[in-house]
Amino acid sequence: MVGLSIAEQDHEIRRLYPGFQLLGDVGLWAVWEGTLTPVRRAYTVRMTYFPRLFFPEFQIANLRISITVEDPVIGLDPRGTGELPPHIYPNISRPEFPQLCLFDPATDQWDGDKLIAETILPWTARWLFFFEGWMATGEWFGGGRHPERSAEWKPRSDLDPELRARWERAANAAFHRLGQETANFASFALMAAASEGSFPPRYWRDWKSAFSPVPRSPVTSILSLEHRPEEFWLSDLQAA
Amino acid sequence: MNEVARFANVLAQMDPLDVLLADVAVRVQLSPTDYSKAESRAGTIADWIDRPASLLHGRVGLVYPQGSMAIGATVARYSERDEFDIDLMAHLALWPGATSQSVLDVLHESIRGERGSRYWGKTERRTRCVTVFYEDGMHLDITPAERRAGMPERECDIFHSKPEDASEVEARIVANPYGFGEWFKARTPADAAFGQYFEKRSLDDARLRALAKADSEPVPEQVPAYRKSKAVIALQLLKRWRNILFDGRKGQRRPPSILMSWSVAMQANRTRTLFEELVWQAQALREVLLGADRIGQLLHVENPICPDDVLTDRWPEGRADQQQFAADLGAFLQEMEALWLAETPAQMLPILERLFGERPARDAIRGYFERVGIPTPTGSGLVIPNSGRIPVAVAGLSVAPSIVRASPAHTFFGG
Repeated sequence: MVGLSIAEQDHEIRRLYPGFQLLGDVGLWAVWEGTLTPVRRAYTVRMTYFPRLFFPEFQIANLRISITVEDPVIGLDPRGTGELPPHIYPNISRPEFPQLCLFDPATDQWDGDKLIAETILPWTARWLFFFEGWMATGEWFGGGRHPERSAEWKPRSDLDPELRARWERAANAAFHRLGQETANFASFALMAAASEGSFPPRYWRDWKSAFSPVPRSPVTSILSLEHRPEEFWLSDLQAA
Repeated sequence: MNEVARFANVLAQMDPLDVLLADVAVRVQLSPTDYSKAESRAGTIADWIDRPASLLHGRVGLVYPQGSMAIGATVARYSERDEFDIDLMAHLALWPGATSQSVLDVLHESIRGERGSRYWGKTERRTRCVTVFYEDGMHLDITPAERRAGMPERECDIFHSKPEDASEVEARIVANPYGFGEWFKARTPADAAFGQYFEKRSLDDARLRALAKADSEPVPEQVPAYRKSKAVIALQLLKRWRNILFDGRKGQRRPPSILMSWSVAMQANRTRTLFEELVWQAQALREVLLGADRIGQLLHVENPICPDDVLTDRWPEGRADQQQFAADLGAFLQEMEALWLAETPAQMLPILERLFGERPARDAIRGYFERVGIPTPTGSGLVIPNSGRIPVAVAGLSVAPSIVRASPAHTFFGG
C-alpha cells in the first residue's frame, strides 16, 4: 500500500508545526526533527517515515513510521525504579531512544494515508504529556492497550509443523532484509545505494530498482495474518 | 451560568504553573458545597440566638459573615485536615451597663442553650467570640458587636474579655469588618476569564469529592462568589503557606489573615498571571514588614475604612515577629523562583508540597494529567499546533477553542 508522499506529508507538517525540519528525504524514507512542548519542557523529536512498502511478499504494519525522543534522553529507566517507560517499542540499535507507540496496530487508527501533522505529531505531544505525568506520579493517565506478551517468542502452537517452519524461515529472512533497508543495521553499500546522488560501483546490485511500487500481496505481513499482532514484538523477533 | 467557554482561547494558553497553582487553591479552600453549608448554618445560628427562650431574644440585629468568608479567601485551618473557621458578626441591642464579660457570657449561654439542645457541649466561650464546633470540622466563630451610633455603616464595638487571665484587661474595641470587606472586594474585582475558570474548577472539584464520599449533598450549579480574582487566590495560597509554616511553630501567634488581606488589596491587579501575582504579593508584604523594621518600629496598619480599627493590634508583638516573617517570605520567594525554573511537573511537585502541603500538591498534579485523559464531547487529544502544548485548562469544555486542534482518537500501544 502506498501512503501519502513525503512531499504531501512535509507540506502539512510545515503548515501546522513549522518548527519541524525535514532532515532528509531519500525517496524511500524521510526524517523530520523538531520540538514539542506539551507542558514546559521542550522535547526534540525525530520521525522516520516510510511511504512505501518494501517487500512484495510482506507489508510492514506499524513500522511505517517511527518516533523517537532525541533530547532529553528518555532511556529505559527514566524514573530510576526499573520500570520501562509506558507504551514504547524498544529500539535495539539505540536503546536509550525507544520508539514511541502511539496507536494500536490492530486497528485502522493510522496508516500512511493519514497526515502525520494531524495524527502522529499531536499524538506524540500527548505521549510526552502523559510521560511527564508518569514521571511525576508513577501513573499513566493516557489510557492505552498493552499487548499480550508470550513468555518466549513462538508461533501459535496450533500451526502445522511444516507451515510453522516455513513461516519462521520467511519471517527471519524478511526481518533481516527489513533491518538492512531501514538502516537499523544496514550495510554501507545498501545505504549508499539508497541515497540520492550516490554512485555505487557497477558490480553492486541496483537495490533501488528492486523497490518500485508493487501490488499488495495476499500474504502481506511478517506478522502473518494467521497470527495476531500482539503476540509478537520486534524485540522478540530480534531475540530469536 | 458559568461562561468559561467564552474565554476558551484565553484559557487554552494559560501557563501550566497557573493551572497547577489554581488547582492547589481549589483544594485548600472552602468548597462551594461547604460554602453553601456555612451560609445555611449562619442563618440557623442567627435564628437560634433570637429564639423565644434565648437570653438575647429580641436583641439580635444583623448577623453577617466577616473576615475570610466575607472576601472569599477561606482556607483550611490545618495542613492535613479539612477544617475551616467561619467568622460571623452578630449585632446586638445590649442592656445598659453591659460589660465585655457579660456580653460574651450571655452570648455563650444563648448559643449553648439548655442541656440536650442542639449546640449543648459544642460551644466554647473565647476572648472575643463564641465558637460552635460542628462534627464535620467546621467552626463558626460568632463575634458579638454593638453598633456605634452616628458612625459609618456597621462600624461597631466588639468585646474583649479573658476572665481566666487576671492580667488581661477587659475592653471595647472599635471594628468595622464589614467596611473592610467591601473595601477589599472593590480593590480585587474578578478577572473575567480567570474568574469563570476558577468557579468551574471549584465546582468540578466539589462534584468529584461528592462522588468519592457518596455525598448526597447537592453541589450548586454556580457559585458567583468563586469567580475570584488572581489577588484573592494569591491570598489563599499565602495563607495556606503561612498555616503550614506555623503548624510547626507551636505557641507562636501567626501573622493575622486580615493584615495579609490588607496588603494583598493594596497591591492587587498589577500582574498578568497567577504566578506573577503570588510573587508580587509576597514581595510587597515582605517590603511592608522590612520597611517598618528599618525605622525601628512595629508595623502598624489601620482599617482603611475605620482608622480606629487597628489590624495589627495583636501582631506583631515585637520586632522579632516581623523580622522572622519577613525572612519567611524571603524563603517563600526563593521557592517560587525554583518553581518558575522547574521544567516538569515532577520537578514542581516537591516544591508545591513544601509550600502548600503534600495532599493538595499531589492532588493538583494528578488532576492536571487525569482530566486530559478523559474523553470529552470535543474528542480527546486537544493540542495547540506548532508548540504541541496540551491546553489543560480547557480539557472537558463542551466547546473547543479555535486555536487548538483535536486529534483523532487513538490508543497508546506497546508496553
